[in-house]
Amino acid sequence: MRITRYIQPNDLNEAYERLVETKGAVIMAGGMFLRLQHRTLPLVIDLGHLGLDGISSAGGLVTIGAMTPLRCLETSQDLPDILKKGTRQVAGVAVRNMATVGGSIMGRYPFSDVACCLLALDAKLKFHYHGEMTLQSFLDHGLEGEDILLEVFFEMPEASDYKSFRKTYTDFPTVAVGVVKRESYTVAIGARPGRAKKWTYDEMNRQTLALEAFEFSSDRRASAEYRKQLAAALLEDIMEGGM
Amino acid sequence: MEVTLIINGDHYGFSAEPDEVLLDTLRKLGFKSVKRGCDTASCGVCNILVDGKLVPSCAFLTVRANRRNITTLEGVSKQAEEIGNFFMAEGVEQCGFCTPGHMMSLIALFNENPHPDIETVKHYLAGNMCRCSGYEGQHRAIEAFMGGGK
Ligand SMILES: Cc1cc2nc3c(=O)[nH]c(=O)nc-3n(C[C@H](O)[C@H](O)[C@H](O)COP(=O)(O)OP(=O)(O)OC[C@H]3O[C@@H](n4cnc5c(N)ncnc54)[C@H](O)[C@@H]3O)c2cc1C
Repeated sequence: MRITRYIQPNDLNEAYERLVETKGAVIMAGGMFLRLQHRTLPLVIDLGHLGLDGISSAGGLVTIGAMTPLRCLETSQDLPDILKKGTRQVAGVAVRNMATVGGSIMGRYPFSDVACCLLALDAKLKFHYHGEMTLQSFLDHGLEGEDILLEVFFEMPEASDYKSFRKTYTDFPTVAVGVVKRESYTVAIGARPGRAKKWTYDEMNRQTLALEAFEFSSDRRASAEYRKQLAAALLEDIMEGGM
Repeated sequence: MEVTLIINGDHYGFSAEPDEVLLDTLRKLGFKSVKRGCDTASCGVCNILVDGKLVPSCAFLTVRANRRNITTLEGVSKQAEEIGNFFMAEGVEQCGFCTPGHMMSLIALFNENPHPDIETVKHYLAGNMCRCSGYEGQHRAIEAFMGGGK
């Protein structure tokens, strides 16, 4: 990655104006994936000085700032289990101190543990210009034009759990399963290897384990059939764990 | 871009390109404990502390570190030597290339949690690769250090 210009605005409106007025300008969060791109970026807008990090909880609603590092999700006492378990094997601690929630969502990465967890939580996103939208809608359709993600929020669930299969401890997931219990159960499956998808069930039983609602495909990590069987086994583990 | 870096307590004025990363800057300034490994933040050999947080210096823009406190192994050599003695006693090191990164991760862990159990240590060190050993020696050395050395 080459950078022609770098700015660290102190004002959100300024950051947004620079983003929309400069052709090819990009937002930098943790910068971990941006850095791996083989291209020249005419303007990088670092969100580090806008106070967009932090976790808060009020009246059952949990809000996570877009610039919150994944390590904070892993160690926070205020978040549901699914987010702690879903972030603890994302690379090493050093990466998790830099990689952010916002970067994980905005990249719409199919392998993302974070996106899978937040999808199971029925999370909503708040953008500077586009306002609020569901994570599901963003993952399915993306955005029209540029914008800055400010925060992600969801209702605190009754219970939740997450399991992934990885070839090594800090590898990307071969497949991942998140479950959230409220009045019903929401199951999200990530790294199918397509983007995470969710389905809601009134109750969890043997029929749920058939995973009829989900499509799996093959890539160099695993075949579709293997992934499906892994996902069913992970889901069964979660059910046996008391969900 | 002109930046001021506070490295191990000393101030350095430095002119950095917007895409320069701390790994390169620190090595140019003579902090050779910071190693270049994968260059994709995957191996841990370039780990340093910025404002007390463990980060991969290969992915940290130098301009982003302006006026922030950077710690390399050179700045915590006494603490590293104490732990290092246990590494030597267990014959952990072969090439030694990954050791500075391992030490920085361990020091970050002990700063956060002075009395971790060995499972916490293994989890914390999972991002530090070692291509010579099978990690058993490191874990033995760290357990010995935690048992008696601290
Ligand atoms: C070595 C390594 C291993 C990893 N392993 C895993 C893994 O196992 N599981 C997993 O889930 N993830 C993994 N990740 C990915 C990581 O969790 C993050 O998703 C990734 O680093 C992007 O986050 P970032 O904060 O670094 O974003 P950046 O690289 O800064 O940005 C990513 C994209 O999002 C855009 N963007 C970022 N924030 C905003 C915002 N607030 N508003 C608008 N646009 C924005 C940027 O412009 C860019 O296009 C890994 C990353 C690394 C480096």
